[in-house]
Amino acid sequence: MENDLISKKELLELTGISYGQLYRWKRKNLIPEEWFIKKSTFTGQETFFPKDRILDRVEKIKNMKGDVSLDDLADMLSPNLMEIMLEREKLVGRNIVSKTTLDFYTQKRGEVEKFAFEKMLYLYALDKMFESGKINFDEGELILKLLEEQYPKFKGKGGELLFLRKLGISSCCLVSNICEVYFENSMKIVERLNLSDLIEELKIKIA
Amino acid sequence: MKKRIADLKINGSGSSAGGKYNSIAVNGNGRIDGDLDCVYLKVNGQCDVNGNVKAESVKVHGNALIKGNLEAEKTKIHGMADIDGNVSIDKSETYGSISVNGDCNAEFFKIEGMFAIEGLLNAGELELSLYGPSKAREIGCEKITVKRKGKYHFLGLKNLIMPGGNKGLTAESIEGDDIYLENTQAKVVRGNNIELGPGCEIELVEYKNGFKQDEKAEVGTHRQI
Repeated sequence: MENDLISKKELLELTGISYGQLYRWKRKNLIPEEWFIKKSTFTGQETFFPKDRILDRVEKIKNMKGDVSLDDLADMLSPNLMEIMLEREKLVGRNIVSKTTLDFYTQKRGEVEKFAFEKMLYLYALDKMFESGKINFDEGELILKLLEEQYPKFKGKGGELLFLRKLGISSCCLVSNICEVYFENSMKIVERLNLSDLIEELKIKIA
Repeated sequence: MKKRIADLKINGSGSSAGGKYNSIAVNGNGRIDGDLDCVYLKVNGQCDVNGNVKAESVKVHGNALIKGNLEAEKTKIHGMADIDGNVSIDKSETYGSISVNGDCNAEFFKIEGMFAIEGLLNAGELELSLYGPSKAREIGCEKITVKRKGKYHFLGLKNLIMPGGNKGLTAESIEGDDIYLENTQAKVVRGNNIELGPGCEIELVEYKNGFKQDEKAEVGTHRQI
């Protein structure tokens, strides 16, 4: 939900890439369709992008495209889930998720031997939330339930996890990418996680 | 290369459910209800698919109507293809006409004839020899060459007349690295090297390296950026 947008023209100027490259990367799903935002300007229809995310993504692609094929790169960057299952020991051993978070999960949901990518994502998100120190265990349960029940609706699309608090009451929600949400003053956004970024990080950690 | 055992043959007139096949051959008039996933799809005549098509190679001599998306590695169409959804093809050759209701992605996209794409035409290389009015909402590519061919017979249709004001290609914007256009009407053309041949009507040209304009081309404004 950035309000900072950059025009296609500015993007090409800043990064030195060409139209051909931009369209090619779009074709290869290296840049998500949702990031191409059409707005009417006085010169007609122009395309804009979320500034920080696109600049970051273009840098990543420029850096990695020499070493990795575009298709492999697309796999790493796309929000589509990989079909990997990892055992619990590996999760902790590889420092993907902290033991505390894993124990919390076991306490709430029971013993699980192997984790599918989706479950790993939930744990990873929980881990980040706990790590920030802004969320307690009860609130963690709220987040876990939200993710389990509603995240599947986002399959393949990016989104953000928002944790909110107002006058002592906590809640959380999932918002789709590039969606603008505004709350009234007394509602505080305690923490905000971009799920697509989490998925990218998680994929790199698992690989 | 996928290895599948089942083949589907429709000779004469017939219909079938969709499914996963090795090769599908329609000789005559075929209708397929459901999604198709196959290695080869060969149509001699007419084939209507009420679903999505995913294939390695698609060859059509006649008409194909797909009420869904088309995803293929290679397509060769002699005749007409109408796709209701989105198209994603590695190498596409069409001799005749192709129309797409959604977006079209291709690495290599060649047309001799005409086309209409309601959404974005995003291709690596575009080779367009137009015999009739064609359009895409937006075009993005690495290399595009648009040539206007004459008012001649093609595919047995009697003289296809191009009335004076009818341009070959119409698009809102065309952006790419190397652009050569003839008979094209667009609001904006942006790229590295742009050459406008006869018959072009462009409101705005923005080029990075080079720009050439034929005397029979009309350009509103052009600037180097």
